[in-house]
Amino acid sequence: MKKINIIISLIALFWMVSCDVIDQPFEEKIEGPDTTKTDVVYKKILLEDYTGFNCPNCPRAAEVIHTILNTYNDNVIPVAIHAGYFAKPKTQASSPYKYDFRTTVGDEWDTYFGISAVGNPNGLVNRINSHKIYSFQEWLAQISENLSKISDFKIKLRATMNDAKSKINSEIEVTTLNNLTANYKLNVILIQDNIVDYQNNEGVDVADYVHNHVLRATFNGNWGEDIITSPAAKNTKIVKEYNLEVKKDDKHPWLKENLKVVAFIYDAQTYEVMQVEEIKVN
Amino acid sequence: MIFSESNSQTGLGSFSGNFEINNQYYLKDSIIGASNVPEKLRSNGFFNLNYVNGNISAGIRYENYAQPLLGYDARFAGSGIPYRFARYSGDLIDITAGNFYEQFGSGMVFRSYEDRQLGFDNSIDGARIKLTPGYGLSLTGIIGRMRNFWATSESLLRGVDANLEINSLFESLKESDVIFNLGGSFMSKYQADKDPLLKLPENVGAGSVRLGISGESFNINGEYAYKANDPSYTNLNSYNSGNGLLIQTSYFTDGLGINLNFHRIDNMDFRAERNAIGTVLNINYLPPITKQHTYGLTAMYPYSTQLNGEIGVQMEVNYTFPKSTFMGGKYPWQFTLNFSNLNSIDTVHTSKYLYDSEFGFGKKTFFQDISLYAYKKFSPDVKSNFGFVYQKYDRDIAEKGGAPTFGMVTVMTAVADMTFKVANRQSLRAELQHMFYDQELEVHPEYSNGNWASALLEYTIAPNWFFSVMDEYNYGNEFDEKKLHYYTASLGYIHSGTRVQLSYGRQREGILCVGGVCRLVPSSNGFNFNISTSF
Repeated sequence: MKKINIIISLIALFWMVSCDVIDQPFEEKIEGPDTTKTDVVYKKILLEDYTGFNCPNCPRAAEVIHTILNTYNDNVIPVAIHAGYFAKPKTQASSPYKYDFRTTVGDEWDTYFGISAVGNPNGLVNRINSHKIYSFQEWLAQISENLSKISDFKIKLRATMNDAKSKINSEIEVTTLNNLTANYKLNVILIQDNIVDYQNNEGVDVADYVHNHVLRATFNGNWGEDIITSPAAKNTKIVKEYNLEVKKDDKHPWLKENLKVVAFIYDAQTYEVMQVEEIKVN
Repeated sequence: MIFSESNSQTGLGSFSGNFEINNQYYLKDSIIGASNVPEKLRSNGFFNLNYVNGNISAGIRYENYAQPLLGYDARFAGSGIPYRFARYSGDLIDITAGNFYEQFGSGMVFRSYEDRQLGFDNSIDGARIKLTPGYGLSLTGIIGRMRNFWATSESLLRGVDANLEINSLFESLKESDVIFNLGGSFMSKYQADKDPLLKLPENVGAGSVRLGISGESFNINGEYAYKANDPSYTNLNSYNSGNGLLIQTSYFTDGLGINLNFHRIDNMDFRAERNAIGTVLNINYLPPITKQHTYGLTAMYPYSTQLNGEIGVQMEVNYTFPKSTFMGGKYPWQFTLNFSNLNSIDTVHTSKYLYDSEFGFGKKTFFQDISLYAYKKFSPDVKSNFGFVYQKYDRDIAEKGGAPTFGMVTVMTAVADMTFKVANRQSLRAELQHMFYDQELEVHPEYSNGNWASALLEYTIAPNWFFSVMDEYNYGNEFDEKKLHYYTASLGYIHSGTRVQLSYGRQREGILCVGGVCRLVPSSNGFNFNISTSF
């Protein structure tokens, strides 16, 4: 019997050492990124939230984005991509889910990165780790880990809508901050805040849900344009200018005050986002 | 494709294995809402090869998903060897290195298993030691990471299990007909806390104790499991501890068998990664207490165990009439009556991360099943099975994460299954089913299902051939364009360990559950070609 006692004690010991019990409070104070050095440019984060208005769990992801923005301010630039099954408008007359939030560019990204095939909500954080899909509960951790890294690029942006409200013009100035050897692309997109429409919130059809950071269009194709295709020296300046025609949309018009242009540079091989900036349309 | 038999029984050991490939050729069918499959042909293939030589064994499994079949997780796409092991089994010690499957007790803190039909595999890649030191004691220790499609879990799992046959400890019990078994397990996972907001437990432990008593005509098994705080995606970051209680009893005597089961589960979804959703990375398994129906329409609304909380009872009675009675005779009637009832547990949030729960039955019914099957052989050539199934199924809880869409679905299904022996080694089986359907809510009338009827004819030429035709007809659908026939025709050939089956038809969307674990099978139309063989 002695042997058994020893064995049972060992098992009990094993149990004690391999269990952490957390006491209240369960939340910690989040530190903002350490971006104190003024002589360097820090990497910002492009957070792609793949979502759908008929996706019951997606508002939880939007709440996380809210927390993230409160903590990290403009160091994180979120984009909501409505794509896949939950974004598909319903044809049945009884369904309130009629508006089509989807875009060609969003659909293509969704298919390529395989997000809605895994499920919504899910997302990409700067498309790191070979565009690994992160659930919204992992975003905060991934962002805090990847912020305050020093960037190889600086982006300056300008965006204006013409008086006739038919065209948006955007000018992007990219400066390299290092000698670079990889190939890079620049993708410029348009997003819109404050779109009020239905959202399925854990099974409840919310009529006046506010959709923010909604991807609306791309200025330069689904995958952007090559900007560096051969070794580039430090302080190389690349200037690009794009025009986008304002799409006529009776239900949710492209209102200037709600529009932002987002420009991001990514590695043509790995798709990892190297730098991102956004600006309100003027 | 078919492997010839290759048993070699020499001093060099012996090989055994099996091979299985399921191919599906998908056709467009917008009427049933079949997904568009650009590849047209998809397949899931498996090949197991095992080697045994005395105390040493080893094996591998190759898997190939040339795009997984519809309904299987897309993350399976690819091919490789996700399972390989080497094992030494001695009298005192048994060691496995590599992948293994294991279960502690009833599985409430740890069960690792494979179910290909479900597309579920949570094998552990690591090491396992089993010790049998005597005194009726057996010990198992494991360490490793869990399979996560083509990778392994972020977390490290550690566990021990001890089982004690009490009878072998006491002289007075050694000859007893009543056998006592006492067991206990502990399981722990380590996953780093990278969350800047929440203080997450990096080591999450779970333990259980169990007692089994079995006699000549009865069995009693009880297990109580406890899990320490484990905030996760599926429990909405609750810091509550979890617990589960399972009691299974059975009594059997001539012609009569009674099973009585009870379980209560509170916050027992235990995963190898905090953010896992769906049927992936489950560390534990909570045995269901519902009947698994096998006839098509009766299985349309199977129940999946609600890992976050449920309480339920089950009673099953099997009775065969004595030969001397009116219902007896040479071929007596056999009855199987099942009653299952699963409810919510009532909970109240006391803070953002904590809640209180009550032990008793909660207000909401999740599932109810009352079913009666009667089996009777009328003559050496004619046998039959009749069934009646009444089910209440909270379709929102089971399929929609609680979102009010369908409300409670009530179905009543009748089954008549007759088999006739038509000639030597040839038999014809006919099956008729009808299902009445009713749903509580009409939030989205487009999802309403309506009544169904089905018929099946199966012709078997033993031992090699079978042919069958089946039609499931949703004649009661509210919408005329959805009053559809789901027909299937199959042809199969079986020869020693090899089985070849070809079928063509429409598959209705449905839920497939094995042991309370479920997956959605989307609707499809096309050809299915399966080959399996073992050697």
